[in-house]
Amino acid sequence: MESRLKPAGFSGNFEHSSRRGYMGSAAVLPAAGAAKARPPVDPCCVALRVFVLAATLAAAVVMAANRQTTTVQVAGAGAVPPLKVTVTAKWTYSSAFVYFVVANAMVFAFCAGALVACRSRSAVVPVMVGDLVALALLFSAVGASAQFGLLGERGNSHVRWSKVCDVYSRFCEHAMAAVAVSLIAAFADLILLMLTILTIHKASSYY
Amino acid sequence: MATVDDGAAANSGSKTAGASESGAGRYGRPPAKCSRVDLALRALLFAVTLSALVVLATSKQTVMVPVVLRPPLVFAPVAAKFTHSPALIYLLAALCATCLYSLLSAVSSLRFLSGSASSAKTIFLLLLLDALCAGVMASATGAAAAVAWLGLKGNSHTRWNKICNTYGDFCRHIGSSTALALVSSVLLLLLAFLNAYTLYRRSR
Repeated sequence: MESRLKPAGFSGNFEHSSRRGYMGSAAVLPAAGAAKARPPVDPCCVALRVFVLAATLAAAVVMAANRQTTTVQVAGAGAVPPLKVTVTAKWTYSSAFVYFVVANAMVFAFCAGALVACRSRSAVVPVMVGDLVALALLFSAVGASAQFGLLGERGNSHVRWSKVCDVYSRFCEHAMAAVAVSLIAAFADLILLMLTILTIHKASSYY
Repeated sequence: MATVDDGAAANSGSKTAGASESGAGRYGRPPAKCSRVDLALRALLFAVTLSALVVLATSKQTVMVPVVLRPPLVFAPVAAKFTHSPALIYLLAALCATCLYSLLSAVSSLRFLSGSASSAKTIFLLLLLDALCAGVMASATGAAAAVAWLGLKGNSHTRWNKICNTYGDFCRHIGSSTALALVSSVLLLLLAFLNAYTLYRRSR
């Protein structure tokens, strides 16, 4: 009965000897004594995590540094000569881009924390939950800003929203690059999550 | 089946003590309480996605808009439909996929309850598909919310005027559909948490 009262997921004492039977040669550890406290860290997972870290940072920085100032010619009416107006495009002008930067920064912070915590066995479930939330955040941010970018690229004739990317071409290119990098990061996060799930699945199936 | 509840809960709790009491212990069925919650969440997901689909598909509004702005005003009917925006079409497709998926996965969840087939593999596959669906729904919700926000507030910097003062009914439909899509992505995340926790508890 006392085993039911114990919090099932978060107690740190894991049976590694039972897992090593399956993992066999994969879990050759340098120090057998350290194996109890330190689980084997999958280098693939760490590499993916570092990739997500770098990609979200790059996306956030590229988007936040994105700024373009151009001059457009406003046609004068009647005798008034045409006027040159300086206009600026910034990421803060669009709420979708602000959400994008904030979401990428949050995922970056979480990934840094997870990279530090991945050596401890008790962090498996919190990291997985965080990965799921990070996945949802990244995908929704990518969806929102890709939609905004598409509107800027093509406009929408039905509601008379004209396209703006012919004026702010460099701004649009940078924004699209940031969105693409963030999309790749989101897929990498998905693969990372699936690898974690696969590890847990193996541990649960092969005793 | 009345004893399954207590038996399964005790069984999952004492997994560490005895590796397996019987042959079925290794691939023992998930605790019935968990799978009941799982089934309820999937039914809720189906209801939410279906209502979001209906609300989105019925969002059509036609208003009379002046097309000539000089004194003899000429009015013409202008319709707003969800097919005018690629983001809303994407939302429709994602909602369709999630609705279908929730039905199919509810069937497999029902099989857990009856106890005929329950393996770690099924939970694993459901978990993977849940995560994938959550990603798709999250991106669709983000895109639809961005277009709904633009419609509601407009964007003065790019001179995109808001349209919700003209198409109020249409906007309400889109907004409700987006909110329901948000609820369904949260439900998918909860399902993934639940399944992951079930799977994790078996690994101890």
